[in-house]
Amino acid sequence: MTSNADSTTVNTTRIEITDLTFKRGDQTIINKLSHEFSSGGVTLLTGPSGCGKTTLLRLIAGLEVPDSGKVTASGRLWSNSSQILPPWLRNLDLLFQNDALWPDQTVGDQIAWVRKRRKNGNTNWNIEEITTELGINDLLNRYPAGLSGGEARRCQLARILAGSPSLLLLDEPLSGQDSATAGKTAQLLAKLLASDQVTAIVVSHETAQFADFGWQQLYLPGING
Amino acid sequence: MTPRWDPLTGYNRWTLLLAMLVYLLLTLLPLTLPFIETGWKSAIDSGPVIKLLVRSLQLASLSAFIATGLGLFAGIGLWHSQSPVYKLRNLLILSLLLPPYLLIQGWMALAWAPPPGLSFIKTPAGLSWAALILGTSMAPLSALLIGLGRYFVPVAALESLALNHGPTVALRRLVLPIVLPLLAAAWLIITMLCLLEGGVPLSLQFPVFATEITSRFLGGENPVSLARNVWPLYLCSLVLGICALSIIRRFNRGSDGNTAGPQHFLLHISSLPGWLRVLTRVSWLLLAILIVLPLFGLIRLAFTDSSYNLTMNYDGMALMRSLLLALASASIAALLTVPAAATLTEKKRNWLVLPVLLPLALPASITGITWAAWGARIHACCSWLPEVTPLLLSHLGRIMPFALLVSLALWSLQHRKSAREAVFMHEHHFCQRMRIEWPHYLLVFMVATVFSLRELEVSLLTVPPGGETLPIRVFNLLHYGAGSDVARLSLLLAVPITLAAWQIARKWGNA
Repeated sequence: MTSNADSTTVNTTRIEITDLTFKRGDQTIINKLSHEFSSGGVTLLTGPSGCGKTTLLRLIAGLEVPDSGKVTASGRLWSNSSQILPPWLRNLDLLFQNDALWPDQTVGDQIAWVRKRRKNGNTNWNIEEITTELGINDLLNRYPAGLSGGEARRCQLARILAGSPSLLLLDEPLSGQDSATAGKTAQLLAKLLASDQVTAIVVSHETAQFADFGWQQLYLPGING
Repeated sequence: MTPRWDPLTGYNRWTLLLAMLVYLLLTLLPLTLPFIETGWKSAIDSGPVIKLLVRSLQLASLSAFIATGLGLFAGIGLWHSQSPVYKLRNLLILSLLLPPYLLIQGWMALAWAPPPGLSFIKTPAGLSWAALILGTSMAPLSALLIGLGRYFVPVAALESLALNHGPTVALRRLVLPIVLPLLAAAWLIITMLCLLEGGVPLSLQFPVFATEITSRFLGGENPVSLARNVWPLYLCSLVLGICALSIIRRFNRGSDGNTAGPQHFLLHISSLPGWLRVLTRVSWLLLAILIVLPLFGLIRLAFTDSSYNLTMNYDGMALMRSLLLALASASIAALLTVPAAATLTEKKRNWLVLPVLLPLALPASITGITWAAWGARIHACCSWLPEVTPLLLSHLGRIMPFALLVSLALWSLQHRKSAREAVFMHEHHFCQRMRIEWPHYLLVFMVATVFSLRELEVSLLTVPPGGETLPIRVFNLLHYGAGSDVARLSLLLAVPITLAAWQIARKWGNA
């Protein structure tokens, strides 16, 4: 592993976190966490509320700066306490826990904008198929303000998948959806992520929905656990 | 790797540093006044200094009492969307943004031709008039501060208490502890602002500390000796500002996002006890009358017979100069203050709060005198700079603290944080990012435009010969012209401010 900074993006990503510590004020959220997320693999991240799952995703995405330790991707340094590679140079996308749709554009326009910026050589996902399977074809001309919580979640997921990033960070992808829709969404994710083209980290409390897919699991006990 | 990008704010670290340094340089430069000339001696004896300070404090505290008294109930009215105050909240914002010296014209119009039943109104002058005009013009600020209290009402706790003990107990136990500190903070902030306000006392020829400095400087006195004498005023406003800041800071801990919306039935006026309901309605009616009456007087006077006709050469050019100056200074202010405010809120640089908000406690006269002195020096070394440079820089120094306050509020209340962060996941995202951020920049720009358009004291001290702005023309005519002439010019100034205020009210909801 090298500690040299590099601005080039990588295609398939192996994420390694080493002695990662993150504090918010006086409170330690993540304490000396080390783990390797294998290239092309899917990891289901579980743990009690407040144990730092979302924070870990944000640290990997480059939206937070660690207090100590580092995040590397396929041997290249992404973040440590003094240096940070901006998210847009990491070829990843994050499904945010709360509404992250852009308020002044229709869902279709947002998906098209992201699709135009798609990197070459990651996946051959068919976005029309994805929107059909997520059941959002009727929502493409709608603005986010007119969507329910579950619809907004699926639209955000479609926008992320349209970008075909090499690293997918999904924070509660099934929240706000009824059990049938959640099951369909889980099946779609399993199908897309089975191709080993994408590394994915999925945070979810609904582990039963993903139980049959054989994904690796990482349990974060939290600093009190 | 671009180690200069800051993930917490979304800006380049150099941008943040540069914005903060330029902000501090432009706003804190007035502190250099005692050091830019030597050989000063005290121009005002300690006796008159104390007398002036007492007059200033008397005017400021009386104005603040009027403002908080009127604003308290109007502020409670802002909590529920069915209340008339809520529906007419644009009137509150407009009256807050109109310079108080314009209200004087309206009162004068009524004093010269009092409507039937109001013959007790005499020619505006003296402490009570100055306090009434300042208090009325500041009342909307206290109403808005109290109105913000709704965001700190914990809705679940309020409902639970109301179910068990009734709405009166719930309001007393939960709402009163929120309103009282806000009321105290509003009083302190308004006292501080009134202490520094020179426009109204100057126009009413009621000498206080702030006007004395301007008058003496315009009379040719040594500015450094004036700076030496201003420290009691500066210290008073600073103490008041720090007290207000410490009260407001406690609300940061209380807000958890679980707040009552403006439709909530427990915030409706009918949930209040009977006597409070009557008091609220009467106070709001009184405030509305005090806002509308001078505006009505101003409009009426402007359309009465006048020997004075607005001319393109003088008034039109003055308006153009004011607009150009406001646009230039507001653009620069918006570009600098939005990243500077991000440094404070997103990076939690609490130690920066005091130096950044310190300029709010500086009298405009000191800002103007310092920039006039520095302007002469700048021109001596860089004669190629345009003559308006000191005017532009002094306006920036004056308006940026207010623009920063608005930006701080917007950063703290932002509810599209994730949408903004989602943009950062993609390359070449500048346009997409601007689509999310432009309401923030626009709102800061509009507020800065209004503050620049209405600025009188700083302009008086730094304006180059032949380059008078509209407020200066209003001020000059106030002393030498007829009431209707002044009213016409005042209306000319009020038009762009009203348009901007209307835009601000519209955009605030979106931002």
